[in-house]
Amino acid sequence: MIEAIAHTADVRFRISASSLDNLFSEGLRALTGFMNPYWLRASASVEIEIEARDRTSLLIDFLNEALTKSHVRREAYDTIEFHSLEETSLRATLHGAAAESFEEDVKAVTYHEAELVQQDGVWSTMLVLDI
Amino acid sequence: MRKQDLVRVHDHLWEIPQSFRRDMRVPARVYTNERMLEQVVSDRSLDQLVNVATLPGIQRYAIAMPDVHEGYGFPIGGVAAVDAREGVISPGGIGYDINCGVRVLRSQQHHDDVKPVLRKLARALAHAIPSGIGRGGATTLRRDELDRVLRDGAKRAVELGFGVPEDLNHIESQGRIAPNDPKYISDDAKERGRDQLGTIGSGNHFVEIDVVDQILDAEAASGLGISEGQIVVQIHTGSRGLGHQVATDWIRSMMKAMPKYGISIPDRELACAPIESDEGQKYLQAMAAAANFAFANRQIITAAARRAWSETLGSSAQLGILYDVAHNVAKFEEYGGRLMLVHRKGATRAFPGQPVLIPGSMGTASYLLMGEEGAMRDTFGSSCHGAGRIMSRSAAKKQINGHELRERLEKMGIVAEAGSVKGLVEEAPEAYKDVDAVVSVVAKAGIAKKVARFTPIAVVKG
Repeated sequence: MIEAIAHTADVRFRISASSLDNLFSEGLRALTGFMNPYWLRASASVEIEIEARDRTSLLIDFLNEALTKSHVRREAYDTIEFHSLEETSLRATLHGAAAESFEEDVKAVTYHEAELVQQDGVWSTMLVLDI
Repeated sequence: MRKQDLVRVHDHLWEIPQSFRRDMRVPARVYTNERMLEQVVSDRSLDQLVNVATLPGIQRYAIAMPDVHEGYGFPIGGVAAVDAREGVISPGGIGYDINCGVRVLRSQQHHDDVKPVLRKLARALAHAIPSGIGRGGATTLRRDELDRVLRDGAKRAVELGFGVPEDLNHIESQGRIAPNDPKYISDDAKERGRDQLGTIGSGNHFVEIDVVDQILDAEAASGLGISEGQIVVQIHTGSRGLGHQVATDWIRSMMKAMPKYGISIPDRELACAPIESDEGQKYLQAMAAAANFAFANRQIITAAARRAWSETLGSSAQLGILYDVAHNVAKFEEYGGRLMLVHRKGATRAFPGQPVLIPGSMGTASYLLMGEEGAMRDTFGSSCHGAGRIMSRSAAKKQINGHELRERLEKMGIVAEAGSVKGLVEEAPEAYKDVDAVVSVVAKAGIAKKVARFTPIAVVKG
């Protein structure tokens, strides 16, 4: 689930999901949805590998990597195929399509207020995007 | 944060004592007035400022300017000076848009000269200066050429034909920060920025035509070549995708390095490393190179504006640079005989006699200020950087009708050339604080004096 929460200057979402991999998917959905790409027909995919200090950093680093790939390759991604998802590392293939441009220029996914927590079987965190 | 947590120092300064939270190393201070203080405590600005006060090596105070508003890590409008030997550098204290800044160009035209061709002039500027969102600009460099821009900033842009050497005398740090080294900038960052020189981006970035509607210090204005009724052009943009990626890369790197240095911080976005550490030194050089990219970007945009100007108004119509300031950067400066690294995140350097450029929102005034001694005494040579947001973008979209806004601007005599109605609405005047009040605070606090006021007549947005 993606919930938009007001932020004076930037963009804030609370994302939640019933599993960790779904939470990563919700994060990607929130990011790509906000960027609002002008999709092209050609499909695209890219492999990524992340190592981070902890689980929260892993999510933020993963989303920033997706953002970087989007800008550098002019692609947008909406699906994650995980090859492994550990506490501080992941390997995955992102699937999507080429993008002609993006309506919103997201500078970065910040670590501000991010904290992955699991409560009553639900994973959640806040995400603040710098725009 | 509650209003009662702050102690009034004088009419334009409040302090959060160091005792407010155990991990604060210094008190936090906010320049504002009684009315704006209500707005300041309504978001997380001051909680973020308290977090800044915990940074290792921070000196005297964590400072918020009157345009302060909620950011991430640092509040926007935040200043932190850290001891150059014992302190840390925090990329989040500079922000993702490294060397976001403002440049003002002086024209020889007066309001009556441009009135008949204003719409044509605005369109010419919009055409010459792309937003570059997701698409490149007019200037794509080879990798070796890009490295030279990263090393030499505006100077390299001038060498490539975008301006004249005299321009460099009117840019903070002459448009080049050193030491820098492009090798500390990742391939991704270079790729992200490679075709973005000469583009303004989106969000609050803009190019604007203004008329000087009030001279507030005749001597200072005359010294800067500014007179009533004169037309000026403002450019607000930064280091685009290259700077965004540099910040992302180095915040991630410092996040991993912090345990090695035993650093603990209350907000991950304040990730930092000792200035003298390997990570600190490399980031400083990467930041300087990204800042140079931004100086070159504003230089290339200036060249495009000059082209549009002369094509519309005739070949004799010139635009000279009044000044160019960075408002997202860290710089080594000496205070009280001690070398410090001053982080300015949405704050402008305001050395005595230096022009300070304060853009307002698209429907309100902007100001030309000049730094005063009070800035050196109280704020590590820093002033505010703009009006400061008070309304979220989503609230702006809910409350403001784009077509009504455009009509309102037209009635005010302001032509708006915007890439999208949404972009226009998000930056509507009511989304910002009262810039007159913001500037009055820094003037009354002795940080910077008012020199001239500008009123917009055409706005170009991405």
